[in-house]
Amino acid sequence: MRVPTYNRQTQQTAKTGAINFSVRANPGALSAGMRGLATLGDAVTGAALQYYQTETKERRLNELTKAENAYKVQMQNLKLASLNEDPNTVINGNPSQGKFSFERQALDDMMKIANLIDDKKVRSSFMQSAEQIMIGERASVFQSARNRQIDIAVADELQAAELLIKDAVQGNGHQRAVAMLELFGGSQQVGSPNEPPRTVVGIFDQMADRDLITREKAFNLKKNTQQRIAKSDFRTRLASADRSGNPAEAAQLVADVMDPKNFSDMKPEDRDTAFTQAVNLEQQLQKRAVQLAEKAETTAAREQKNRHSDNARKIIARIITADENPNNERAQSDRPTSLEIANLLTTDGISDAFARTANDLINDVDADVRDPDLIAGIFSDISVAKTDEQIDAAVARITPNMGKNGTIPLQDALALLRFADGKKNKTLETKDIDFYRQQLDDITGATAYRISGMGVGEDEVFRQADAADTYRRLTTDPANPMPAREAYQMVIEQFFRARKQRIDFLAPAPFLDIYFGGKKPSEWTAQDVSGARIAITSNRNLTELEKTLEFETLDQITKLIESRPPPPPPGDPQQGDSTWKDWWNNWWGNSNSLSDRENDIRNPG
Amino acid sequence: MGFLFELQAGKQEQAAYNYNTDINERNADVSEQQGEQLVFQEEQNIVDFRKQFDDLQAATSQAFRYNGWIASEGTPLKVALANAQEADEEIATRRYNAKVGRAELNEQATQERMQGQLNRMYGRAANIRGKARAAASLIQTASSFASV
Repeated sequence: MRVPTYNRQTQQTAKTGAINFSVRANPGALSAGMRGLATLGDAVTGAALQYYQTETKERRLNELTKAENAYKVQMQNLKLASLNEDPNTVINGNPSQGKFSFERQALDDMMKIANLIDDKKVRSSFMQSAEQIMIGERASVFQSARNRQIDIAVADELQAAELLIKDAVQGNGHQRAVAMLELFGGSQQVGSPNEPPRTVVGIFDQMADRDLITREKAFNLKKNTQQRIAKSDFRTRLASADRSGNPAEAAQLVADVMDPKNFSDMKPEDRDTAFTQAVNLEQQLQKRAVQLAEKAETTAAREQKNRHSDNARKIIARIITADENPNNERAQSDRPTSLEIANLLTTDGISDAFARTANDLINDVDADVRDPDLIAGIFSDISVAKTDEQIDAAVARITPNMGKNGTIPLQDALALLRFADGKKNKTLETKDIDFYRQQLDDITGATAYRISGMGVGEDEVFRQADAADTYRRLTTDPANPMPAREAYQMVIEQFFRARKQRIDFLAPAPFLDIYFGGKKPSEWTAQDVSGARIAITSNRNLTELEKTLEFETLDQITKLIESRPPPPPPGDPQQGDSTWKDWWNNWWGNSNSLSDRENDIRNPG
Repeated sequence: MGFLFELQAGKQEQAAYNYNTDINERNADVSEQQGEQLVFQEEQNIVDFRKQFDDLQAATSQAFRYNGWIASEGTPLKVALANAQEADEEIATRRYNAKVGRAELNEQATQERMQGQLNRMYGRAANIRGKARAAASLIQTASSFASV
């Protein structure tokens, strides 16, 4: 039997138990933190540097800007000052006056400002920029100074030219010739005729030669001056013609200006204007001559009219004075005579019409009848007249209606004439008369009647006319005119009393009391009127006007009495008895009107 | 605002490195455990081997006795001793190999740990870098604001 044996099966490993480490440290990853910190440090440093850089830059820029601004302000001041300085001093300075040129002053100011800057870089930058500023301003200032130099020279020359133009236009012949030569140049003979003439260059060409102005400018100035002189020549002629007032001179000017040989330098449009002006002047002068002739004629007519009017008024006044004072020798001796009237007519002192009227008046031939409406109409026309011509037109209606066959008595005529005078002279009394006349017309209804034309009854119209006439006569009484206000109050009282008493004329209350014993109008009798007429005639205290008015009132009362129906014969129904008509009216109910009841109360019988 | 993202990026990078470190730590532990397991397994194998070897020795003694030999002396004894010598060497070799394997696994664990340490260092560096970048961004932003 086989004996088993054992041999080791496992071989010893060749491994050592150690391995090669594959782990490796990543330097980049490990140093990332430090590199991050390095980045941070760089960022911190960069930011700090940037801040410092920015701050420094800003500070320097700020300082530079301040300095530049200060220098610019200084430059502006210098520039402004240079405008008031002599141009030569601005450019070159004036050592004798201790004045420096603009450039020197600008450099001084630059250095003053630069010395105040501590930072070298800022100072350097400022010097550079300030120099540029100064160069720019210097060019501008020098250009301005040169322009002013030229302007001054041009102004001097133009002023000289103006003086020459003045001589050419306003001077005498020699002055004009010299001025024209110096203005526009030419040849002038000096000394003996054998010597060559002296050539003169015109002032504008001289300016161009000196480069003060361009040739084109010189040409324009020369041409304009020639045109100005031509226009001035024409104006001188025009003014002369105007002053002379002679249309022939203006006509000659028209003919001259139409001829191109005259005023040869005048522009065509100026010539057209001049022609129009000359023609207009000629027409104006002709018109003026006609107007002067017409005016002279009108003045003569007006003077004649005034003369006639004044003389007529004086004659009328003397006639009235003589009539009112028959015992006064002086008044009688002053009475106009027919011879005086004839002389006045011969010397054109009065009109033919008034001469006839005056003769009538001298011979005590007054108007046969009195027309109150005509007189009131003339009075009203004078009262409402706005111009002297309107007053004259109203007054002209007086004289033809005086004297024999006339309707305006002497007294009324004189009153109207005096009122017209007062109106023309705008006296206070006349204004008062106008004012209260207007008030009177308004309150009596005359104004409304005149405007509307509506009928108010014949008796009311009569009362209105009588009120106006009475007011006029009282206020324009030649002997003793009543103040307008008092006349107005008196007439108004009479007007309303007349309306109440149903009479169509005005009568003063004292008059009725004295002569009619306060009777009612229905009780007035013819005997009362006769007694009153006798009493008035014998009353020496009354003026002629008062007597006239009272006689007229008595005439009106007489008409009233005569207009009454005769009393019924005995046995017939008497006044106040009831009639069939009354019965019918009472039955119908229409008779009990207000006016009837007033009548019943007023006339109970 | 960029500085906030830089800061967060650094933190995330560190977190990634830390994560890798944890994996390395685990791998190291696994390797060590494998090493121990290897030794332990080899000891179990040795125990089995010893049983098998005892069976072999008994068979050898039986064979000798079958052949008429006294198994406890003379050649059978030498053979038995030689077998025993071989078996001991076998066991020693197996133990040696197991220890070498464990040492190798330990080495791997060490390597993983070293990698973990590196990752942790990388994470810290990344964190620092993120903070630095964030600060730099912040400073740049502030500088930009200041220069406006």
